[in-house]
Amino acid sequence: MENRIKSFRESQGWSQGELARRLGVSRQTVNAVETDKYDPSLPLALRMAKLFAEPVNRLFLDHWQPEDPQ
Amino acid sequence: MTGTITQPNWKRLFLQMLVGAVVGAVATLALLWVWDVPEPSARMFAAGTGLIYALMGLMVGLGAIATVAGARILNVEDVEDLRDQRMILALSAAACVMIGLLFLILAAVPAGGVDGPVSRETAVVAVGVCLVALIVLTYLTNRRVDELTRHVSMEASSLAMQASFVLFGGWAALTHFGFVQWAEPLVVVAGLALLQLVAIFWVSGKRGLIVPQKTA
Repeated sequence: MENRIKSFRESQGWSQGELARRLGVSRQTVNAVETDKYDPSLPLALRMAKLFAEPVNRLFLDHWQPEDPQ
Repeated sequence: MTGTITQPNWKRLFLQMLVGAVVGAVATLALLWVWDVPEPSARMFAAGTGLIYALMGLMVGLGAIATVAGARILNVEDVEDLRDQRMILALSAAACVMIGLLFLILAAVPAGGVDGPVSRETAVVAVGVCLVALIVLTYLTNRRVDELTRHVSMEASSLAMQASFVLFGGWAALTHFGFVQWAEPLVVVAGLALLQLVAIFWVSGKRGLIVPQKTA
C-alpha cells in the first residue's frame, strides 16, 4: 500500500533506525513499509499515526472507493 | 545510523552466493569422503542439508560476533544496525547450527540398525539434545522477533506446507499406485527442512529482504 512514512520521517529528521527504535520494531520493518514491500499491522499503523500526530489515512493512501449503491 | 536505503547491491549478493556455494560444495565433498558415504544416497542428501544449515548458521553467528566484518557480509545497513539485531541474529544462527548438527548426526548413521562413524545410541541422545535446544531457541527467538519477521515466517511456513503436500503427497500417491518406491526416511525429513529453507528465501526475496542494500 502506498504510504508517506518516508516523507513524515524525513520531516522529523529521523533515520530509519531512529523511527524503528521509537516504534519498537526493526529497521528492516520500517524499510519494508516505506518501500511498499510490507503493509504494517493495524496496531503498528496506529502507533505510526500517534508518533507523527497524523490520521492513519494521511500516512497510508488507499484509492479504493465503495461502489455507488443503486 | 544515518543512511537511507536506496538501491539493491547485486554485486554483494552474487559474491555472498558464490562464496556460500564454493564453501558448501567443498565441505560436503570432504564430509562424504571422510565418512565414506555412498553417492547418491539419502545420507548424502541429509549431510548436504545439514551442511547448508550449519554453514549458514556459522556465517550469521560469526557476523553477529565480529560486527565490523558482519556488517559487510550480512544484510544490514551498518555496524550499528547489526548491533541492534545482534541477539536475534545470534539466536537464529544457533538454531540453524542446531538443525545442521541434527542432520549431520542423522547422516552419520547408516539405515538398517548398524553403527556408522557415530554409534546409534550416541546419535539418538545427540538428536534429542539438538531437538530440545531447538525448542528453547525457537521460544527465545519468537519472543524477540518483530511483526515483519513473524509475518515472513508464517507465510514461508504456509508455502512450505503446501509444497510439502504436493511433493510428498504426490510421491505417496504414486507409491500407492505402485509406480515408484516410497522415499527413505532421511530424504523425507531433509526434504521438509530444505522446502522450509527455500520457502523462507522465496518469501523474503519477494519482499525484497534478501538483496543487501546500498546506502545513500
